[in-house]
Amino acid sequence: MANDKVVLEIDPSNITTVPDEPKKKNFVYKDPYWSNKEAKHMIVTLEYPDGRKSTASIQDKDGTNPDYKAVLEEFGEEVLDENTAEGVKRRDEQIKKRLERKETEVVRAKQEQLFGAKLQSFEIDAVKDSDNIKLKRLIRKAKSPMEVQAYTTILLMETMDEQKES
Amino acid sequence: MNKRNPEEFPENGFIIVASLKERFYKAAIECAESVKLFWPEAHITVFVDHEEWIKPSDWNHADYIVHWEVPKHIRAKLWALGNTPYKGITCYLDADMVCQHEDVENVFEQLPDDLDLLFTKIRPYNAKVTKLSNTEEMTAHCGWFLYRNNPHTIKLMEDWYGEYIAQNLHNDHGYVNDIGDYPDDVRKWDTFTMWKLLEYGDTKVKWKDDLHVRWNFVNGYKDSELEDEEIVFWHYTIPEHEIHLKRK
Repeated sequence: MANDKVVLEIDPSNITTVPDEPKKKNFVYKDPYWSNKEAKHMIVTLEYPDGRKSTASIQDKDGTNPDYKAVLEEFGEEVLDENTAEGVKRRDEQIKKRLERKETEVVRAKQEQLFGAKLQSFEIDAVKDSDNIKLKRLIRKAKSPMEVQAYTTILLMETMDEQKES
Repeated sequence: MNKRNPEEFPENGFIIVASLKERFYKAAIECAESVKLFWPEAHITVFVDHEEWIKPSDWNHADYIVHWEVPKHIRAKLWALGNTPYKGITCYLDADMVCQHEDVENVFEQLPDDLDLLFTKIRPYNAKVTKLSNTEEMTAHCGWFLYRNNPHTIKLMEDWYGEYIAQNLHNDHGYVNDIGDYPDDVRKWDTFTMWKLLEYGDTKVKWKDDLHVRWNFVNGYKDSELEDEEIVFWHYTIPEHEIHLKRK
């Protein structure tokens, strides 16, 4: 019958275990740096033969972490110190760049608003077709949307006055 | 349509180019109009690849509108540069610019006698790509510049067009011409082509890129760059969605 149980009888004295062998690591350590040197905490990139990369956090609280020992032996404390300093510099530069980008975005938005106001002003037929060069120049040169609005209003009022007179 | 004679043009003038999208042509005419507002005597040539876009009123703003032989190409600009009708100095303006200062009438005096070509500098904080490698950087802003009509400068302009086409030539297997270790992304920038020609070409053109930013103040530049000077040419960007709309 297919569902019958098979009883295995094993004599424990016949069991032999495979001796523990240190596992061969299939990656290399790259670019280690300190996350917190005092706490013996480092960050390291693990690079695998197929090109994959992963980031590992290694901490040696009780002095028994073999990875911690291996990284220090391979690179030395000085290299970790240097990598840490470079990393901090790189991070600071990225922060600076990010802030600059943000600042540029704000500036750009403000400038676009001003330019948009000028476009709107020149889309008004009475402005576009006006011969009032002085005021049209002032609208083009305006430094704020409010200024654009003010000069546009003056131009329109002058045009209305001219129309009344004629 | 045009009854004006290029032989009688003034020595110096502006060229603006619009191709492929009508919105660029609209911008080109607006740009010409803004130059005329501050300098009515300025001479302006607009190159356009679609004759049907030209309206009679456009002639109130541009002195000369050229459509014959203008290639229907995204960089028709590069073709037009070598075909400037001006015998002295040409000021090239991107279509998406407006003039906003009377000092525009001094523009041709900005090109020193010992130079053939003069740009403003790109501001890296406001540009998509400037750095090509650790030692190579594109610095000249190719959206506004002054150049002299002499054989070697005109040859550079013609090479600019030819090289740009070569740089973007591709078949089913990809790009035909190698551009070394530079990223393929830069192929679409004519700034890259000009940079290559100036850095690695054998041109005799004497050039600089240190003209004051007021002549080509791009949207996003910091006001502090102006150093209390006033903007002469404002350089904006036409929103992408507008480019694809038909002209009203």
